[in-house]
Amino acid sequence: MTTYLIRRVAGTIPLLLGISTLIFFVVHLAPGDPTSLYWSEDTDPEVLRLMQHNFGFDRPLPEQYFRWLAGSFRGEFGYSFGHHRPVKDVIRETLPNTLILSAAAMVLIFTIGIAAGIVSAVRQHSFIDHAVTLLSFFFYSMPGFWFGLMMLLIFSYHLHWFPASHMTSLPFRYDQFSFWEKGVDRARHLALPALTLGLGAMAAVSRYTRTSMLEVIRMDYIRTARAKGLSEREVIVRHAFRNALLPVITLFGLYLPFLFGGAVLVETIFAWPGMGRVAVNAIFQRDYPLIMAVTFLSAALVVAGNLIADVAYSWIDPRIRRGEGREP
Amino acid sequence: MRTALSLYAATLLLLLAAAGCTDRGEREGKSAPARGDSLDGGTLVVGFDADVDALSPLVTTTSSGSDVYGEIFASLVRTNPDMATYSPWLARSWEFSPDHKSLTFDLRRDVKWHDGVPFTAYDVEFSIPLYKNEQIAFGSIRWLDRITKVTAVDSFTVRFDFDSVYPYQLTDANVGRPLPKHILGDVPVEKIRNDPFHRSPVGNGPFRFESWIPQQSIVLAANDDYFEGRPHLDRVVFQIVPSRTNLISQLKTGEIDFYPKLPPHAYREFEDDDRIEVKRVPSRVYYYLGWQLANPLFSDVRVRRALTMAIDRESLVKSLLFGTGRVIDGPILPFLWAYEPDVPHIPYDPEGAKRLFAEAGWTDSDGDGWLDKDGKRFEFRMKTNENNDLRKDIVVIVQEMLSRVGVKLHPETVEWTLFLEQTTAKDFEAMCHGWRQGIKVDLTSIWHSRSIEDRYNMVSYSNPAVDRLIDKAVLEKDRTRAKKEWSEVQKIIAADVPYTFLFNIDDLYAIDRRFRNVKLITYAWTYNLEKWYVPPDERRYGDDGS
Repeated sequence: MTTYLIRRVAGTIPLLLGISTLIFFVVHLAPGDPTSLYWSEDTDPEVLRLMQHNFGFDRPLPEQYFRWLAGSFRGEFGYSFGHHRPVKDVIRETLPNTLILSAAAMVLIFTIGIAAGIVSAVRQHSFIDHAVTLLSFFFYSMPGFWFGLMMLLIFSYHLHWFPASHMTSLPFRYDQFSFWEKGVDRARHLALPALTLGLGAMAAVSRYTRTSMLEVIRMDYIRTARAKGLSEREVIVRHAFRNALLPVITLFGLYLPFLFGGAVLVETIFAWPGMGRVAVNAIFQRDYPLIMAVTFLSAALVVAGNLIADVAYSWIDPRIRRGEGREP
Repeated sequence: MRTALSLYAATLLLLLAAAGCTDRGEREGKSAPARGDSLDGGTLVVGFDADVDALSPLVTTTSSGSDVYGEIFASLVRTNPDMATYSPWLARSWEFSPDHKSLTFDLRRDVKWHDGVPFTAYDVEFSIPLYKNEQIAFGSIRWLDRITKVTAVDSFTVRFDFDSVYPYQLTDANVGRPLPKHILGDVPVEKIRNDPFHRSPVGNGPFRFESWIPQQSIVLAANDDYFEGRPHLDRVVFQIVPSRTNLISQLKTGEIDFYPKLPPHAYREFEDDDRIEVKRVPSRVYYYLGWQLANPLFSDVRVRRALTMAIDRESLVKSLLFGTGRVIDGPILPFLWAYEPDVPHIPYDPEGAKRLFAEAGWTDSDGDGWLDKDGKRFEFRMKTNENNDLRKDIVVIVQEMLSRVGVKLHPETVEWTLFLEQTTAKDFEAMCHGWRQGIKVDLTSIWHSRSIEDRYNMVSYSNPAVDRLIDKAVLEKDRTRAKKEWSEVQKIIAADVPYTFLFNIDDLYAIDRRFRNVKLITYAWTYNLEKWYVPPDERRYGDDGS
């Protein structure tokens, strides 16, 4: 197990290095110029050239690349052009917010999704199965931007159940809340974005779980378990569920990047101050140091997500664990 | 685009807040209500669709950023709504030397920075060299080129020395708002641009900085010690909501009180609203179609005139702006003192356009429905940028209008930074673009033939008469004479049709009617923000913020 882990982690290093090199050159080869942000009738083009020089954008590309690389080994990602401050400060502020949002969505996806899938499978062809199936297909096929706006319109604008934007209430009010009120306030603000982000994947997970459960339920060992006289609950939870979970775990690794992509949209609609929005703005502004840092981090998270999925897989399925020592 | 275009705004907008001459008595005399006055209190929640980049006059480049820092930092003098004259602010009075090469300001004695330290002439003497420093690259740095030296004569007298005499000396002396020497004085210049000061500024204006949660909100609080009297509002909160739909929905639910950038299509939605009022103010922005004069296709003025005649600009204003704008014919907008209303107007006249095309040799000789000349069809590509629906719509509608006179236009949209790069390099046949007009009347950077090479004369317009008049007018200190010269320039440019001037758009401000004494002007919506108030029974959040 340990060897397996070490080997997997070591394998990610050249991968990340390769990714960063590729991103760097692709980003810089794209036309456009970061100083165009400051373009106006009153800005002398000379001022723009001055800025380019001050930020080092007029240096040869390989030189810029090695500067960047050397910096990132020290944990310095340079200065953001658009934010007028170190990139790491921008990341430190926004990355946790995106993680909170994605984590909340993940929890929704896998708890509700799996639960719905199991119920659907166990009560196959019942009314509840049909209802879950119908809803799943509906949520799965709705585009995120439309769905987000609908959530906003219904639950915030018309029903006033949830706030329409931001992570907390206005700062000077929030500061006066008690600890519990703060928690509730945050949860209320998190509800709509997390749901919007998670519903599509939740629907998919419930479908996967249902299929996988149906397959497992027909296995011989389930029949054996029943024949042994185990209660239906024990059969489902202990024998069927654990085996049915395997394909679903793979989804975890697959959904992480997907959530990051979706977060950009959700963060924009619900004014959630996450990294996705920062990334998009950075791209439009050609804020190279920030683009690099954000893309690199996303890549790292995706790699990490896959790693976690693999580890979880081997934890649940003893056959994979036993395979250690051989090629994974 | 507006954000990008608005460096200008960034610098100047904020100088803004000018008291009109008529307001002055009120500002300095009888008003200035004491604390506890029933008008004091309440919170204004402003909706912004993007976060600001910084909150200091030195490095901020977004127009929303300058809207905010303009409330935190005062400048030496206020720009009046006419954008041509000034009123006292940090300076009580000012005076030119007999040779007009130095300008001396007499500063107020009662101004304090928000941390309690008195503001003095030494702050001014310290700040201007920072604005002039190339390493910092202040956006309007070139405005300071002709200021050779700034000297604090004593604690409350500061003198600006110029290397020449020209009409905008006061404007240029006023462009860099004073910064606190006691805070920034010890920061090495190469570190200044990224100093935390720009994110938690200490100013001397009507509001002080309270908090900024990036991508979420900025909170300003009333400065109780403001030298012109405490602002009425306790707080101004800027909520950052990137989705317009969400912003408008929060405006309707009352979570947001004021939205300074209402899109034209939402204008009608609020027309009969009891709670929200939409105020229309002519903006400083105009849209145009630029023809590449270096391209033989557009070198004949008759052709450019005919193209303009084939475009129904009134209907563009009606359908795209829902009437919230006006057709223009020349390069200076009505809000500026140099505006000449009497420039040649080119009417919508498709039949006349066809005749004019024929005169220039363009006819449909092969009967395929498109004009041609010497076997070449009249077709070209018109560039505009992604992320600006208004421009993309203009191009498509113009395409349709031109097809009716036999001209084939191929729309081409390019991403913004690339669009700027290409248009500046004159890599286009025709383009749809916009300008935000500065407060200094100066057509040099766009219309002088000198600016073809390295500035913003992207359409390669060159007319020696215009060059001569511009060169003369920019140095003309007498406004009446200058106005005559500018009028002449506007008439010539309008007749030469290097652009098809489309329209000047209105800024649409949606505001909750609870707020009173709101005066919005072209220069900036924050013009008299410190005088806005909410009657006590209509306040949303208590004094304690509950």
